[in-house]
Order: sequence, then structure tokens, then C-alpha cells
Amino acid sequence: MHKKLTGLSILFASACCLFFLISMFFNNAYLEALTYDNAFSYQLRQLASILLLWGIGLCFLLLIQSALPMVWALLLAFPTGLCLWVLPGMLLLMLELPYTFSLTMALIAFFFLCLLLFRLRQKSGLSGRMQTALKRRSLSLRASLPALLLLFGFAFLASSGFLYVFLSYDSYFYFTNYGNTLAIVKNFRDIVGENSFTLTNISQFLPLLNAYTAFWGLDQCFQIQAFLTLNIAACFFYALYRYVLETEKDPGRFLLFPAWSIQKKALLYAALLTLFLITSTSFLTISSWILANMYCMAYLFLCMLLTERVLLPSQGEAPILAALYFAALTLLRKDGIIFVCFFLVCYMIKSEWKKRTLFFLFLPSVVLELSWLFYVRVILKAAVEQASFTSIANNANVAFVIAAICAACLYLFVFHPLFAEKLPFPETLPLYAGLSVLLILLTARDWNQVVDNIDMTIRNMLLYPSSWGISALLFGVLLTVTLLHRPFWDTDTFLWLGYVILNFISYCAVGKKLWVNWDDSYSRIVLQIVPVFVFICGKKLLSLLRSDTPDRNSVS
Amino acid sequence: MFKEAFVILIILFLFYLLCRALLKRNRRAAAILALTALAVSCLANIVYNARVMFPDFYLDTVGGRFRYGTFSGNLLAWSDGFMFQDEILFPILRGRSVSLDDTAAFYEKFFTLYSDSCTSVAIGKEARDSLLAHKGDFDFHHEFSCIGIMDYVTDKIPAELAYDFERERYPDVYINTASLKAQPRLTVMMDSDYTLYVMGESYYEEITGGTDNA
Repeated sequence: MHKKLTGLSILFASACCLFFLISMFFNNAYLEALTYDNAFSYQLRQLASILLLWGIGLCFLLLIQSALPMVWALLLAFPTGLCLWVLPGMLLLMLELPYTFSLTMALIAFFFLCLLLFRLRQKSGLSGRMQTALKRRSLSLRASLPALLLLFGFAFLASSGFLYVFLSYDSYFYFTNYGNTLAIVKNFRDIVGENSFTLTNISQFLPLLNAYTAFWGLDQCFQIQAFLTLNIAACFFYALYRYVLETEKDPGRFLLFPAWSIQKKALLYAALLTLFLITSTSFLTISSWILANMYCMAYLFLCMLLTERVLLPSQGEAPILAALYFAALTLLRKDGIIFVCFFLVCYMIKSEWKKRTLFFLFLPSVVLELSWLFYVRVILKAAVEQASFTSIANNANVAFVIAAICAACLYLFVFHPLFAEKLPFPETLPLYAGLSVLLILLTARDWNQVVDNIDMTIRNMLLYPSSWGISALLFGVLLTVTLLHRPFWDTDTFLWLGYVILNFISYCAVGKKLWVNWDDSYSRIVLQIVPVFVFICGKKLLSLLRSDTPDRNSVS
Repeated sequence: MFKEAFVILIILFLFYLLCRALLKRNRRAAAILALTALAVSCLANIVYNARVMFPDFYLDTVGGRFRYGTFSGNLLAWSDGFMFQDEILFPILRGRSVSLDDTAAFYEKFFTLYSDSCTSVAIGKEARDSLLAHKGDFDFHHEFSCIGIMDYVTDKIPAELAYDFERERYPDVYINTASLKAQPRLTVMMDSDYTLYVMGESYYEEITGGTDNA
């Protein structure tokens, strides 16, 4: 099976490489007619920019690796690498040091060196054990060769230039152009003006990624987003495949294809659900649109995966990765900290992590958020003439963010220990009750706003044309089928339903009016949770395909 | 819309009841139904995307309908019908030096930021007239929206443009794309109404007879 898989992945990577080479000839005339550049060099730089980020992520994961399987290290390397580029960049910019490629790389290298020294100190005197560990690692690397080749294939595809991308006003002016400018001016000071929209209304993760590609002499970071999309689809597939294998040891319990082995069944099931996800219009829209939503979708999905104990070991690297992805979410959107607070609560009710661990993985996000607010408001004194209502220059929005952080801490230290010990029913019930109370209060405050916003949400999901396509309807059918087995108030369902309700409440709380359009902000927020929703439905649907009594005639 | 949503909910509820009944009577049939529904959903998605989304993906936005989606947006962010076609200036300026008309001080910061180097050049009346006489050679023409939207690329908006900028009306940019090929240097001329003309240096020299014609 492994040999066959390796052969297939070699074939896939070779085909992608060939496509990449052919695409250079197609792009050559197109590019050189206008630019003073060479398509061969341009596409190779695209490829190198992807591989460098992936390499940074992989180095970090190998340095901290204790229990993380090698395939997961390969799959999580790129999203982790993105964080590791952005965070030092933010540090340089906020300390008002020149934001250059070499300085950022030096900072990353210094961080890795410290990490290496720390790990060596931990393992000093255990050289024999270290050698065994290295040997084991090289063996597992050989076992994960198909994943490695798959990712190389994806890198070639993403760098080919033949991508389906949607570009809007925001894609250009708030991410691409602004990011390129940051790479040129190398500081935030030159951006501050009378109307500093990019500093007060835009979060800095995506501009910093655009700055990264600008350092490579590229015009945009589309290839980064394309690779991340493919990487997340691979994570989705592998997570579901592992989930089937880990939870189902007896293939005889599967009602269909009795002659098949459990691996084959798991492959089919994971492939079908991955196909369902990647063909859904909602996923295509959000993954092709050059906005921060795709990155949010990726990190929300990865945060959810970290709660799956059957996939990733709950101790070891998982809390470090959670802290890193939380920081990424904080920097991805103005309301990113709300997602972080929500996932912190989910971790409380779903993971085995102690209160102290949870606090420490939440802390970097809080520090980042508050320091950014302080930097923009107090040090840069950035203001806006337009759109101040939605910006962090607006005191009401800052108050809301601080209230969310306080509420998350209060829940962590007061309510969660209380509920976990004393409640005779699932902890999600008081959480749903709390969200309902908030919604009722908001409705009492402004009935029209809440009803209008619900109406707009339904229209955005069901009306043609929309960024949902027919997905909303198909998700409804999928949800209906999964409701047959488990209660609706379980923790898995809370991961997506709680997210949808909480964000709706946050939009209503700050007085945001939703509208019928492709680019309605709340609609895009809901689209971000689609992979989490499909994965959870996939988990539940699995129980529908099993019988309670195993069929002993089937092949094990 | 609530009515339609309610009808959909009722249909889904009936579907739920059907599945439940099936699950109780014949579990295998229910499993087949679930997997078939999933496969049919994949097919429906593919058909929908192929027929509706990919061929003609438009988004409604302020100021009318325009094309958002493009299959070749990776190397150059220039697609027909797009409202920000002047974005093409960024890849054009990358790696090139610019000789900017000395009357175009307003645009100096922009060209200094996004080109390799920007130097001022005097363009005489005769040269201007001959370039304007060849306006037909400038095949690309679009509003220069970047200059107004990216507030950090301009220091001060000239009084004669302030009114239009407030109403999101910007000067035009003309590019002679045929003259750009393999040209490391560009010449940018500004007209009296702040319209810009971008061309390769050899084209400029061919039309005007060189830069020392002030």
C-alpha cells in the first residue's frame, strides 16, 4: 500500500512539475510584453517563496517536535511558517526597526538558534537517546514521503500562474498594494496620514505576507494563498482519514463495501468528503478571493483539529501550535480576537489542557492585540476621516475587544471550573443559554436591526447569485442527515454553531447592518467556518455508516 | 425571505423524518442513502460551478457590475473589464527606471516608491505636441485610481484636483504597451489636466528625438 502510494505521489509531483515548466512558456510572452522581468525567474521566485515559508515552518516543528507525527509536521509546516514570518515582522515594525527581508530572517534564525540550544540543554547527556530519536525521525520521514511529494506537487501547481482568483477593491488597496508599500517604506510611520485606513481598519497579517512576496520581487501573494488552500484540503483529507482509522478498528462494522479493508474504506470516505468540501461554491469563493478570510478559514480549521485527540497528541506541541495560530487569527482580522476567545472556550470544554496551559496559549494573542491597539492609538496616533465607525480608532470597538478578552478570562477562571464540576448536563447548554440571553437583550435593544440582520443572512445564503451558490442548501441536507445520531448540543456542534451565533451577536452589538451582497462581511465570516462544519458533519455521518453489531464475514 | 427559509426548513424536516424511518427499518439502506446524497451533492456542486460560477463570475458592487474572477491573475493582475485596471502600473514599474516629466511633481512620490529610480526630465512643448499627436499609440487607457485611494503615495493633492478626488474622480493614465517590451527605462509625461502618458524610452526618443529637447 505504501509503495503504491509513493509511486502515485511521485507521478503526481512529476506531472505538477511538468505543468509548472510548460506554464513558464505560456506566461513568458504574457509577462515580458509589459514587465521588465523574466517569466522563468518570476515563477521560480514564486516557488522559492512558498518553499522557504514551508521550510521555516518545518524547521520550527522539527525543533519542538516531541509527539507530533511526521506527516502532520509536513502538513502543518506551511501555516506555521506563515505565522513565523509575520510575527517577527510585526515585532520589527512595532519596535520601529527597519522591516527588511534580511533582518526578519535574522530574527527567525536567532529564534531557531535559541530554540535549538534550549532543546540541546534539555537533552544533554542523552546522546544515545538523541541518536535513536534522529533515527526514528529519518524512518518516519521515509514513511511520510508521499505527503512530502504531494506538497511539492502543490507548490509547483500554485506557482504555475494558472490560478482562479477573485480580486476586489480590498484585495488590491488594503492587502496587495499596501503590503508592497510596506516592503518599500519599511515602517508604519510613512503610512500614517490624515486618513490611515490601512492601519486602523485593516489587520496586518496579509499585508505582511504581501510584503514578503514583494521582497522576492513579486507583485502579489496569490501563490501563497493557493498553496495554503491545497495544503488545507490535504489536512482535511488526512485528518478525516486518520479519524476513520483511529475510531474504527473493526472494518466489519461498516455497512457498505464489506470486502474492502479499513484503509480503503477510510480513503474513500475521506476523499468523498474532501471532494464535497472543495467543490462547494462557498469554499471556492473564500479560497480564491484574495482577502484575509481564506487565512482565517485555514487557522480556524487547524485550531479545531488541535482539539481532536485521536489525530494529534493533546500534550507536547499542540498547545504551542494553538498559541501560534491564535496569534495569527488575532493579526488576521480586527475581530480575530473574538474568534480566539471563542476557541479558548471550546478548548476549555473539549481539550484536556489545564487552566494554566489555556491561559498561556491565550496570553500571546492578548498581548499582541493590546500592544497593537496601544501602538496605533497612542504611539502612531493614527486617525481616520472615513469609516471610523468600523475602525480601531473608535473607542466603542476597542471597548468591545477588551470586554471580549475579559469575558474569556472570566469564563476560564470562574465559570468553567464551576460548570465543569457541578453541572449534571453538558457545558455547552449554559453557553447556548448565555448566547441566547445576549441575543434576546440585543433584540430588545433594537428589534429591527436584529430581524433585518437575520433576514440579510438568509438572503445572502439562499438568494442567487451569492457567494454560497447551492452550498447552503447542500449543507442543510448534510446537517439534517447528521442530526439522526447525536444530540444537537454536543461540543462538536458548538464549534461551528456557537461561532456562527457569537459572531452574529458581535455584529449586532457594534451596530453593524448587514446587506445583501457577495461581499457582506458577516457572510464571509460564516464561510470561514465551512471546513470545520463539514469535518464535524463527516465525523457524525460516520456513525450512520456503521452497524451496532459487526459483520464477521467482512475482510479485516 | 423568511417565508422561503421556513419552507426549506419544513422540507428538511420531512427529509429528516424520512431518514429516521429508514434508519429504524433498514440501516443499510440509510447508509446507502447517506453516501449517495454525498456523491450527488459533489456532482451538483461541480455542475453548478461549471455552469454558473467559473464561466461568468460577477460580483455586484458599488458603481455597477464588474468582473472579479480571472484564471490568469497570478502573474499579472490585469483583467479586462476590471475597475482597477491601472493596477497594471505596479508590474510595469517594477525593476525599471523612470524619467518623469518635471511638471509632474504631484506624481513623483508614487513613481519614486514603485520604480527602481525616478529622475526628473524636462519635456519641451514641441516634444509634448508630437507625443499628443501620437495619442493613438497609447492602447491602454484607464482612470488612475491608485493615486487617489492610496493616500500614502501623495503628499498634497493639488487644489485643481481636490474637488474631483473628493468625488472619487481621478486623472487618466495612458500606456503605450507595445513600447514597453525589453525596455529598462520608461518616460512619463503629464498633460496640463494631470493626465499621464507612460511609454518606453526608445519610443519617446523616436517620437521626440531625445530628452534634451526642452
